[in-house]
Amino acid sequence: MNRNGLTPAEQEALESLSRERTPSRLLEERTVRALKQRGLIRSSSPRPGVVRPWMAIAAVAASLALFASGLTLGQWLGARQTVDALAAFYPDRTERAAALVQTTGSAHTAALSGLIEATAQADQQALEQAREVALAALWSAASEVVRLAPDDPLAVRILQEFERARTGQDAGEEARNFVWF
Amino acid sequence: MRGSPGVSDRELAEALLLHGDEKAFRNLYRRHTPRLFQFVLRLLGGVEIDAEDVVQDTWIRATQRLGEFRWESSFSTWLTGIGLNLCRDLWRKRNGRELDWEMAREPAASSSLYEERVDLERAIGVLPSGYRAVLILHDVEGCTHEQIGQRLGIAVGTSKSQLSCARKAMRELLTSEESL
Repeated sequence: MNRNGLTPAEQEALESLSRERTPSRLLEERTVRALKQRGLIRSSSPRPGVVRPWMAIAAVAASLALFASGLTLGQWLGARQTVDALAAFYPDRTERAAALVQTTGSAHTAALSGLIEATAQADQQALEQAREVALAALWSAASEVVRLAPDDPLAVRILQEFERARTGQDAGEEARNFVWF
Repeated sequence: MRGSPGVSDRELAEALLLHGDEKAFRNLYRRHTPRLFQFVLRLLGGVEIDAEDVVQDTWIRATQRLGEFRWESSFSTWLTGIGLNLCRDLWRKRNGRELDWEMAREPAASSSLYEERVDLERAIGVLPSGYRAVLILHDVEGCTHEQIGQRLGIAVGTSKSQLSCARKAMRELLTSEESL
C-alpha cells in the first residue's frame, strides 16, 4: 500500500482510466437546439461588414465563373455576326451606343490580329479581300468620327490620305471586291 | 483542449454570455464535453442515455448561470460540479436519495458482470452511487476529502470512511471475478 491507501497496481489501474470520452455528435446538435429554444444562444450568422474567409473564396469563385461565362459569351458573339448581335443587345441610347462602338472596335481589332496570325495558312485571295475590308472599315470609321467630331485632326488626316490614294489610282483599276459579313 | 486554442474559456464564455454566440458555445462545448461526459458517464455507472441527458442539462444550466460564475476555479471544475449536482438529482429521483452507501446483493449490472470479464471500469460502475461518487472524485479526479465534502454535502470524515468502504467493495468485486 502507498500512503494513499492503494496498492501500486491499483494506483496504476486507476490512473490508466480514460479521462475523456467523446459523446455522439447528435448530442451537440441536441444541446444547441435546446439552448436556442431557451433563447440562450443565437444562430451563427455573418455580421454586416465582416468578410469571412469562406466569403472571400466564394467571391473569387463567383468572379471566375462570371469571367469565364463572359469569355464564352464573347467568343460566341464573335463567331456570329458581332455587330448585329450586339446591336440587338444595345438599342438607341447614347451610352449603349458608345459601348457598342467600343465592343465592336475591339472585335474588329481582334479579328485583324487573328488574320495576321493566320496568314501562313490563308490563301492570298482571302487575305486580299480581308485587307480591303479592313481598309474600307477604317475609312468608314474615320468618316463617322469626322461626322461626330468635324475638327478631329487625326480622323480628317486619315480621310485625306484615303482620298489622295483613291485619286492617284487610275479609273481603270479593278473594282474593289468587298465581302461583308 | 479542443478548438480555437488561442481563445481562452473566459473569452468564449463572455461571447456566449453577451452575444449568445453559437460559435463560442460550440467551441466551449467541444473543448470541455469529452471530460464532462466521461466523468458523468462513470458516475452514472456507464449508462450512456442518462449521461447524455445530464451533459445536455449541464450545459443548459451552465449557460443560464454563466453570469454568476466568478472564475475563481477553472471552467472545467465548475462545469463538472454542475454535472455532479445533476447526477445527484437523478439519483434522488430514481432512488429517493442522493447517495446510496449500501452494496446491493445483486448489483444492477450483475448479469453482464458475471458473464463477462469485470474490469475496473465495470467494478466502479456497479458500486452504490455514494461509494462510486467518492471513489471517482478521490481516486480518479484527484479531489481532496475537503473538496469531496463540499461537493457532495457530506462531512470530511464521511468522505474518508466511505472511500475506504468503496475501495473494499471494489476489491471484492474484482477478486470475485478473478476467482470465477
